[in-house]
Amino acid sequence: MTAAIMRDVRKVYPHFTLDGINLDLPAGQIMGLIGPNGAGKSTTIRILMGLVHQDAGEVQVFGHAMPAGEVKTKADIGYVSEDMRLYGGQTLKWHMGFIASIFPSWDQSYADDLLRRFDLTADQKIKGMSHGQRVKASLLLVLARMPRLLILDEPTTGLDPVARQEVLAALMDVLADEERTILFSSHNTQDVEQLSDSITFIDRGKVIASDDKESFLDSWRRIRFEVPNGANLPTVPGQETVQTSGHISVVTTSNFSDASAKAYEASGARIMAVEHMTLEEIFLSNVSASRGRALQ
Amino acid sequence: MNSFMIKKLIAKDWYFNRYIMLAYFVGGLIALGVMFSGGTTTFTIGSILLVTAIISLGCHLVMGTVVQERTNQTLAFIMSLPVSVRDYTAAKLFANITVFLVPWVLLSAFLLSIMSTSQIGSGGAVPIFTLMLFWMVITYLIMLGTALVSESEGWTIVAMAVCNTAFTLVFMGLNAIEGIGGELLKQPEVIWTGASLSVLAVEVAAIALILSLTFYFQSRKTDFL
Repeated sequence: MTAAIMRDVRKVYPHFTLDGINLDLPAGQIMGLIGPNGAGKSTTIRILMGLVHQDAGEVQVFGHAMPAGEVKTKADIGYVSEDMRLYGGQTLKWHMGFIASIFPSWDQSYADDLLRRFDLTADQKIKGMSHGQRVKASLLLVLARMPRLLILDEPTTGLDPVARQEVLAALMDVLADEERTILFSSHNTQDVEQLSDSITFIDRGKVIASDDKESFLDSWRRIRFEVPNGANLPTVPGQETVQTSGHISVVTTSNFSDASAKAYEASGARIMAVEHMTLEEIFLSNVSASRGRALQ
Repeated sequence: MNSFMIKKLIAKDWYFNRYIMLAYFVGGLIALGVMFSGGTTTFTIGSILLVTAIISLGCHLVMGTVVQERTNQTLAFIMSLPVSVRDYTAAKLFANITVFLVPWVLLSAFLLSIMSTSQIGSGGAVPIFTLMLFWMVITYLIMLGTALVSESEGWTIVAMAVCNTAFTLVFMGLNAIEGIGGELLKQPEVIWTGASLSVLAVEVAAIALILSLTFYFQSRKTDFL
C-alpha cells in the first residue's frame, strides 16, 4: 500500500519553481527527503499536507486527493516542523489535553511513557523549555495520537549537537516501537542516514534521485584514475561527475560494477582506488551532476 | 466545514483571552465611573478612557490572536490539525468577534442606559454615541480582516493607525450632520432621526461587507503557511 503519491506536481512562485515532482511513499517506510536550503523540501511537504495548493499535478495521501481532502488527511498525519512552535504561555500538559480532546486515538499511557523517555515535565510551560525540549514536546504530541503518517520537516535544524543527538536518539527509540510511515526532511544527511529506509534527493525544485538507502550506498563509488598521455576516459553509463587534475582523474558513478571498471581500464586508464561514498558525498555528487546537466 | 474543530479553536482562543477580556471590561467600567462622576471635564476624560479601552481591546485581540500566531509560529501547529483555511477563518472570526463583543455590548449597554436616564439628561447624544460605538466595531473588523487576509504585521499596524486616526474625523463628520449632531446633542430625550437610522443601517451593512470580504479573500488563498 502506498501512503502518499505525487505525480508531476508543479508549483510556481515568482522566484522559485517546484517542477515535475514524482514521489511514492510506501506505507511502513521511512523516507528521507534531502536537499539544500531552498531546494523545495518544505513546499513539497506543505503540498502533501494541503497547506499549499499545487498549480498542476496529482497528489494523493491515503487515497484522498489533495488539497480537497486536506481535513480528512490531516487527521491521519502527525506533522512536526522546524518552524512550528507550541504556545509558549501554556504548559505541555495543556497541549496534551488539547490534542487528546481532538484525537480519539490519543494514547495517554503512551504519552506518559514518552514523557519519561524524552525527560520532559508536563507541568512546565513551553516558553521555559530549551529548543531541544520543545522539539521533543512536539514529537510527543504527534506520536501519542498515533498518526498513520509522520511528517518531520527539518526537526533537528537549529539544535545544538547535544540536543540534536538527544532528539535523534529519542526518535530512533520510539520509531523502533512499531511500523510507521515517515517522511523526514533535512539538509543534514547524517540525520537522515540514521533514520531512513529510502532517500529522495531534491535540488532547485526537482527530485534528482530517489532510491533505497542501501542501493545508494552499494551502487555509488568514487574511482581515482591515473590517465596516461594519449588515453581518454570513456563516458560509462552511471558516470555522474569527472574531476581532472594533471594525470589524475576522479570519477563518481551511480552504477558501479566490474563491467564499468573494465570499460575504464580498456581506455588505458589505471584504477588507483575505488572508494565507497558516504550519503553526504553521494548527495553532493547528485547535486553537482544535476546542476551540470541543467547547465548543458 | 468542520464544526467540531471550529468549536475547539474557538474554545482555545476564549481560554487564552479570558483575562484580557475581563481586564478591558473592568477598565471600561472605570471609564464609565469617571464619565458619570459629575462635571463636563470628567465626562470628557471618561469618554476618552472608554474609547481607548474599547479600541485597545480590539488592537490587543488582533495582535495577540492573529498576528502573533503567525510571528510566534504557532499557526503551523494549528494548521497541522484537521482544519482547512475556511475552518480556521471561521473560528478566528467567531472567537475574536465574541471576545470583543461581550465587553463591548456590556459597556455600550451601561453607557447608553445611563445617558438615556432623565437624571443625566444627555439622551440627545445617544444616537451619535451609538453610531460611534458601531464605528468601533467596524474599525475592529477592518483590523481583524486586514490581519487575516494580509498575514502582515506591517499592514495590520497601518490599518490600526488609519482606523484610530479616522475615529475623530468620523465623529466630527457625524456631528456636522443635522439630525445626528449639533443642537440635537443638547436635547435631554433620545431622538432617533432618519439620518441617524440611515447611518446605522450603513454601518450594519459595512459590518456584513467586511465579514464577507474577509471570507472571500481567505477562501481564494492557495498558500497558507
